[in-house]
Amino acid sequence: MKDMRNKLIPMLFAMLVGCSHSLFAADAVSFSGDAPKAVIMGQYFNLVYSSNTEVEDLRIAEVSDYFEILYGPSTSESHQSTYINGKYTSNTSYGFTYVLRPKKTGTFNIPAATATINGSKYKSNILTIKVLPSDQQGGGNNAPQRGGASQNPSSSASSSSASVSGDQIFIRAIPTKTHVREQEGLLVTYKIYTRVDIVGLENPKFPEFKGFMAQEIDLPQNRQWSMENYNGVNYQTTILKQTILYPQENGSLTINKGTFDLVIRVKNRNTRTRSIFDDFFDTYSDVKKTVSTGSLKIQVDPLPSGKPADFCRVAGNLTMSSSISATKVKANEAVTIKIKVSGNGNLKMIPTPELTFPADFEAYDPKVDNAFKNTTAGVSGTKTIEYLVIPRFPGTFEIPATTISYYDLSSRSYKTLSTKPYTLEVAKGDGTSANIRSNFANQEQVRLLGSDIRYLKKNIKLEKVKTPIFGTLGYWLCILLPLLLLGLFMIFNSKQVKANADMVKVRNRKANKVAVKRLKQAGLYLKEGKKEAFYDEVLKALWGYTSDKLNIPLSTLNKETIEHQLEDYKVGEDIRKEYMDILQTCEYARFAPGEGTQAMDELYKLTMDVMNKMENTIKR
Amino acid sequence: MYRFLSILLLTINSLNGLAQTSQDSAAATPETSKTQAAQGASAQSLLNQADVLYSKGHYADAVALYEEVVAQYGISAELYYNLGNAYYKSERLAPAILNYERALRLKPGDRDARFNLEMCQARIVDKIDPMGMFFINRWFNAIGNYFNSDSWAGLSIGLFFLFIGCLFAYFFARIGWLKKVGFFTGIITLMFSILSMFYSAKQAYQINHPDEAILFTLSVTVKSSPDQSGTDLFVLHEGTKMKVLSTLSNWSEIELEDGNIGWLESRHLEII
Repeated sequence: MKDMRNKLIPMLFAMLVGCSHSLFAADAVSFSGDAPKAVIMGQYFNLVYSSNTEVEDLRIAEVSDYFEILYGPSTSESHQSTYINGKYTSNTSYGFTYVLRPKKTGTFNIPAATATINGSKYKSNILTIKVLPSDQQGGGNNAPQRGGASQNPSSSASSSSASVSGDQIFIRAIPTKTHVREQEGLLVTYKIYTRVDIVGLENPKFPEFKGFMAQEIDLPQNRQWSMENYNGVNYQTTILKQTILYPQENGSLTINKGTFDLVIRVKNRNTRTRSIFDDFFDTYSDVKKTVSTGSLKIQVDPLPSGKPADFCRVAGNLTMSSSISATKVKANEAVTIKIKVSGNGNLKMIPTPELTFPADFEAYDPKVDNAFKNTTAGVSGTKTIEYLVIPRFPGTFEIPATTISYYDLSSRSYKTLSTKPYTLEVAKGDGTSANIRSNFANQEQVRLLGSDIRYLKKNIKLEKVKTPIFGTLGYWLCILLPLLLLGLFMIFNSKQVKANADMVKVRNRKANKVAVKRLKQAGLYLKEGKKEAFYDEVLKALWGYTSDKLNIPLSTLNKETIEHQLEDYKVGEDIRKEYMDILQTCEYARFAPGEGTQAMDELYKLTMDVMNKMENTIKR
Repeated sequence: MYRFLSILLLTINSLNGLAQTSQDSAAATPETSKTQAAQGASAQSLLNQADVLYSKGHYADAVALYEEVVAQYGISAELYYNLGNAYYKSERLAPAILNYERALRLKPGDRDARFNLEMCQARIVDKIDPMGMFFINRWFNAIGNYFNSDSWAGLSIGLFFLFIGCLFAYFFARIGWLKKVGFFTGIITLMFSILSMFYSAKQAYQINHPDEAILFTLSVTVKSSPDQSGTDLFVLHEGTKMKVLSTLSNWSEIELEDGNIGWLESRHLEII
């Protein structure tokens, strides 16, 4: 039974282990080595190999040329179990520690160690260890307090309380270059060097990088401390800040001092209250110390002359590529054009390359995606610009190439990058597309793309400076002459009218006389018995009288006009009738024979009578 | 009767005189036209050169060539217009405005010149709102800008002739309706003739008494008196148009289109 029990426990344990083994079976086996990156000559350090699984056979490489194995391996085992959100995880790690001491200064590789785990062989990583020379002054009295080295308890007089000398702790600003060209990147590293214990860093005041464009490099959250031999003394160092600087100005640029308040823990050596415990428990106090970095001078040369117009203010190296989603589309279908600019340099300076689209395109603001990474080699990455355009009308359109230029640092010259020009063939849309414009008629206003003055005129006819026509003598004459002409004509016309009127008057006045004369002549013919001549003369007398008296031209003289005129002159109807009778009688008698002299005599008298009557009526 | 004869004689004499002067000018023209033809060729080549320079974008050189043509060969509205364009393109607004104004003096109906002038005026610093004008007044002035002085003068003479013709019709026509037509047309033509005479006179006055100027200096403080110690009234900038009211030694009294009056040194101004 006892035997059973003795057997059972290992069995149970084995089951448990097996269980746990099966649990971990899914996880990959890890096996790695770890050692400080830098050690000081003559001081020992730990070399640790660790695994997450039990190691059966560990063999480390032969290092006896450089290192002396003082002790080892000492094994250790640690378990860690976590229970988070109902999920159970557990870790077991196995460690094998060797204590080594360097034999020489220099940088040495510790080749991979081999281990047999679960029946198969594994190799660890290769470790590189830098062995620094021991301190020249002070002889390592004030040994660094971190890393693999143990602290030397018997400190020398230099570590007096509350005062730490400048060479025990300082901060350096280390530029990679001090002579650069404009826009050429340089890396400035702020590194703290210490031989004392630092509790905290307060109030860090890094300088403003005036004249530079600064890009900070992300550092790991946990500071990595390492050993470094500076001026023959070994210091614990860590990087506080790393910044890539791109000079924006020419000439000698200064990076000012930065100041830092460091809290340092120093051991108290108060002799008065020295007790028995002091030998075992040192008391410490925190001391604040302000350190500052030196200022840096950077000589910046201007970029050579002959900058291209499309210079993008980047010195480094760049590439540009472009692509289009389609070159044959239908109207109202979207097209994307992608431009990629990638390289190394002050990429944030790169302007968005501008594509000029035809005015009939609906172009949206480009989508710009910057994937930049700040590394110690400078800012590198890719800027992606995506243009989305929608051609609204069918046709063949050219999208011209766009260019940017940069300064190539390796070839020391300007280089121009260009996108590809594209020819876009837009077919008529099928009209089913959802993004058709809500334009009922397929017409639109002519869009004004810009305004400019109108173009030059052709066919210039030069002339001498001349006075205007208005106001000259010629002008006024041109106005006056027709007026004068009119005046003259009017005067002439009125005279003529007057003269005519006079003539009528005379004739009027003389009418009776002429008629009387004619009648006398007729009387003579009557006596002589010349019948025909008599009537003729009487007619002439009558016609002539009315013509003169009534101012009727002989050409228009006939009975009707005379009757009308007489009516107008308000001659009585009886007189008119008598007058017309006489005219009629005369006309008949002229050609009719057989009228006696008595009738002729009567007619003569009648005529005289009528004419007298008319003379009395028509008073002018 | 004798008096009329003498008047007639007088008019004939004056007519003769007119004919003679015109003959003189006619006699003079062949010679001048010959020299002008010789000049015309070289002027034309200069103008062509200037046009080519302009189209290639060498505006300053084009300006120089156009100015040479103006100085040596003669002027025209189109030449001033082109010169204004060249100045505009070389970003010199004040001379551009000056030359457009000169082009418009010669050819007020030039729509291109007016358009370009407005472009210039939109770009200068000073924006001066003209004093409020009744819209009929504006229309009245706008009509006046359709032709230049000489065209208006010719039009006024033509209309006056028509008016006289109508008077003849009115006075001497024996047909009733012709008299009526003559009367009313006569009144209308006389009115229009007087209107065009007015426009012609207005423009002729401006040409004979140029009193408008363009400011050529970038910025000038206008004083209240013709003296440096005068009170500062307002500041004007390049390209502003103004009217010169009077001059006193080397100072000019100017009036802006908005009615502000002040003094500035004449050297800042260029008369249109």
